[in-house]
Amino acid sequence: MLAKKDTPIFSIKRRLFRYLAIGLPLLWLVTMSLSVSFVFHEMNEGDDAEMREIASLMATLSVAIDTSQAGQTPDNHLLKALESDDADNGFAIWTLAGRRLSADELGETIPFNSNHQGFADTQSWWKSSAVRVLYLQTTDGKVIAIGQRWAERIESAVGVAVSMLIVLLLGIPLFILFTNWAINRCFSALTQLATDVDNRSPNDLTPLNQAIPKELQPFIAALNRLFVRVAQTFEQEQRFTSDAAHELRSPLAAIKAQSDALRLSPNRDKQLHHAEQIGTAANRATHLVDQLLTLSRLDPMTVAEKGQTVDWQAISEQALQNVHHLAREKCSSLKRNIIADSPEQILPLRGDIVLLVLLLRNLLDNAIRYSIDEKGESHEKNVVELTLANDYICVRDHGKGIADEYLNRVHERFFRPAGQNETGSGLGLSIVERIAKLHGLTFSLDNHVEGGVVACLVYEQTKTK
Amino acid sequence: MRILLLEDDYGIGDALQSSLGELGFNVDWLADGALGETAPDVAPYDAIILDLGLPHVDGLALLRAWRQYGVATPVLILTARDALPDRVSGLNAGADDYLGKPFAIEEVVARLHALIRRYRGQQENTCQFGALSFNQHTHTVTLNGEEIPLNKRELMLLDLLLSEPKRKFSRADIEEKLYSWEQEVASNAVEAHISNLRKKMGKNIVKTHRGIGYQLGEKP
Repeated sequence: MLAKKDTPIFSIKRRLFRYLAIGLPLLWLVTMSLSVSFVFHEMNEGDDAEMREIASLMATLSVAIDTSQAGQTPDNHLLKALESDDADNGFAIWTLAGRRLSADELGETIPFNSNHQGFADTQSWWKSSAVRVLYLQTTDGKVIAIGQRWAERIESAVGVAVSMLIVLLLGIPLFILFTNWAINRCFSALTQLATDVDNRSPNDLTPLNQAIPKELQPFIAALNRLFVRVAQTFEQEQRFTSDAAHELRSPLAAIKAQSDALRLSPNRDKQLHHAEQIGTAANRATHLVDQLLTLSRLDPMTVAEKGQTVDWQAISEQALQNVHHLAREKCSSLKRNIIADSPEQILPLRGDIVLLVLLLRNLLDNAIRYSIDEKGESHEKNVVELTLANDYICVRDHGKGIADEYLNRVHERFFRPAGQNETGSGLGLSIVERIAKLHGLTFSLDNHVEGGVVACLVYEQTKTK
Repeated sequence: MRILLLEDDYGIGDALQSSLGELGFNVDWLADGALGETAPDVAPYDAIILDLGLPHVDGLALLRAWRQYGVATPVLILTARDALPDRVSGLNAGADDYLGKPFAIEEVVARLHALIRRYRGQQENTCQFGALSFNQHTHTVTLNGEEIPLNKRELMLLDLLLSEPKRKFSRADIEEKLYSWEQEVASNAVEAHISNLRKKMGKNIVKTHRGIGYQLGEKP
């Protein structure tokens, strides 16, 4: 399925991989530079300690050297030994006055300094000719300096850094391969799940119960809950279709049976009677189909078109006009009460006028049909009242009412209380309920204490007050 | 043949009563399940047509109750719900046949004949009595190959006598079969039908038992 244009598709796998592939080497580089600087620092300390040792050794030794032979390089084995072969290390010995007694190649470049004891750099350490120098004054009045080129120390540190970098460069591809494998492995459960869902038949709404990672459990649980809801809706729809088909069979059977009867009837009066009955049954079938179509249009709606402000006076006039003929047939009289100062104050609402007319028409139609008393006679109280008020609208008849056992069931689709002669689809109240709900109205049906049935429409908010 | 019809749909009930009446049946029609409970005892019905969706008492409950009381009359169920489980539960409750709506009247008639025939232990639609042959389906009677014209009541009377040759039928038994409760019956109506049968098929076709009633006579 294609995602909407405004919801960009992204791959968790690719994203995760990108984060890991960029983040981890960066982290590695930072760690490496920290390590290198730490190693450099440690190496410096080590080298300094070594220089200190050499200096104190030289100080001890130099005491033994005859200062009277100043100016000559002492030909001493020990001092010779101190002279390193490389040019990176060196030493120099001076008298306090600054006369150099001895020095090797590097030592000759070390400047004399009698005021300073301890370490000093000849130049900033990163310069190529910079030398680390340790000055020390001996007990016999000499100044000893031990020097080491900074370049050598930096070289060692760079060596360490390079070796770490090599490890890093070799490690990254291996790491990427491993990460890719690991991510794929983690996502295989998801891929498997997708395949399973893809392969499902549309009727299979059993819950998913594969072994799935814990992180996916909430999603699967939600999906399973959806399956349950879809299954319920599915079942309801199926039952509705089956009920509808069966309900249609009765008027069709009547048409068929009456046409057979018409064919077999020898006399004209009987033929006319059966022809009339065919018409009645056809009307019943048509009415049922109309009701079914209305419901099928209403069912998918979630909210009514918030068209125009509802003028209940006009709507009720239309609805009353629609049932006028039926009322004449049933000898019912229609009465409208308006309990509001102005028509605009009646149950203010915005909505679909056509649907609201249908709603009132269905209620009035029901009231007229069932306003006849038990003897099937219409008496002087056979009045159907429509009341329009500020916060409610109700339709009342003066018939025999609905038996308590059926009161809760009359809302059910296709339910028709037993033992009645009135033809109906059993869908009228379903339609009323649906339209009321779409407009945020609550529909209720009750027996009136003084007899008859009263159907009420109230604002959902008003009712909860 | 007298049929009890239980159907709450006016269009269907009215049409069945009228059509079956034209086709030689005597139909009593009730529209409420509550009235149906004792209905099979009211008259000697040959068959019952039962709709399942009856008000007050459901058709199946009615059928079970009848079978429990020992009512053996064949029952043809007529319903809009004719899926397999519905048929099975109907037949299990004691129905003899099942017909889904909508239906053709000819099929109802054919099934009623089959049910009644089976109930009476006959193999065919034609009942043979010596040289007399009576086809219940086509409502034709022939004697020595020649067709004898009989009216509806005469046919019903002959059918009744042939159904139980050894039984002596009282005048009331015959009236009950030939007429429904709402029909006015002249006091000499049965005698008139008997004499018509004798005129058309010979004197000995019906035997009279004085003070008791009538019985099928000698084979022609």
